Amino acid sequence: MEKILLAVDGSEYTGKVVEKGLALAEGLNAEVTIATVVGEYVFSPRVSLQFSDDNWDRINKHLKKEAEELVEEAAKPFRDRGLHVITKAVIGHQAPADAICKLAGEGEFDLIVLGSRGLRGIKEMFLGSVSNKVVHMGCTSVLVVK
Amino acid sequence: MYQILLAIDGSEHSEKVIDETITIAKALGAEVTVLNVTGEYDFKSRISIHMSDEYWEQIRQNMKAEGEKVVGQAAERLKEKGIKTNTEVLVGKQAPADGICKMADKGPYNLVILGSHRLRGISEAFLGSVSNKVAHCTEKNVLIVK
Repeated sequence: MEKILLAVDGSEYTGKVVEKGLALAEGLNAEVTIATVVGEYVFSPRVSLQFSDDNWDRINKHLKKEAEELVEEAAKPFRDRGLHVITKAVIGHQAPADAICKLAGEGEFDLIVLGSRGLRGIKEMFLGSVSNKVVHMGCTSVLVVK
Repeated sequence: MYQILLAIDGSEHSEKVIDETITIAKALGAEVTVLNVTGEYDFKSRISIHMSDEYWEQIRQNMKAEGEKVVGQAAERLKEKGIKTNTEVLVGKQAPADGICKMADKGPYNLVILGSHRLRGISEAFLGSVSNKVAHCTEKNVLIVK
C-alpha cells in the first residue's frame, strides 16, 4: 500500500478523508495524491446548452481555480507535518467517479480514499453516487469514509 | 485503540485481504477482530424446508467449525505480526452482508475491511456484491480490498 489517492470535493467529508489520509500516510510512509474532479457535469444539460463557448471558458477557468484552491487547502495538514503530497485538480467532461478511477489506474494507485457522500448529498439516501460508483467499478481498493 | 473488523470468507482472495489488514493495522496500531459470517443463506429455501431439524443442527455445527477454522487461521497470521486479534463466527439465517453490518455497528469498530471478490454466481450480477452491500449498510468506515 504505497500510493494513496485522496478524492476530495470540499464537502464536510473532505476533512475526514484528509484525517484518514494523514493517519495512513504517516503509518505506511505512503505517497499521497489529493485530487478533486470538477467539470461540466455539474450543470444539467438544459443549462449547459445555453452557454456560449466564451462562457464555458470562463466557467472552466473559475472551476479550475476553485479546484486548485480546494486541493491546496486539503494538502496543508500534510505539508505542515513535512509530508510530501501531490495535488491534482482535474477539469473535464467525464463524471467524477470515472475520472477518479481513471486517475487511480493511470497513476497505479494502491488505494482510493473518499467520503461516502459529497456535495450532491441531499438526493443521495445512502451512499453517495460517486463513492457508490467507484466501489462498483472496482478499479482498486477503496476506503469509504463515513 | 483503533478497532478493525476484518470480514473474511476463506476464499483465496482472503489472503490478500489479510495482508492489507496487517499493513493497515500496523500503520494505525490497531486491534483486529476477524469475523466469518456463515449460515443458512447458503441453501435455497426449497432445499432447506426438506431438511429435518436434527440435520440442520448438524449442518450448523459443521458451518461453525468451518468458520472457526477460517478465522483461526487468519488470526494466527495477524498474531504472528504482533497484532492483538480476536475472532468471531456468526452462524445465522441472515445474508453475510447483513451479519457483517450488524456486527460492525453494534461493536466498537472504527473500520470494516473486506475483499471485493465474493461472487455468488448470476444473482450477484443483479443484487450486487457483499462488499457493495456492506459499504451501504454499515455506519462505519469501509475498506474494500481489490
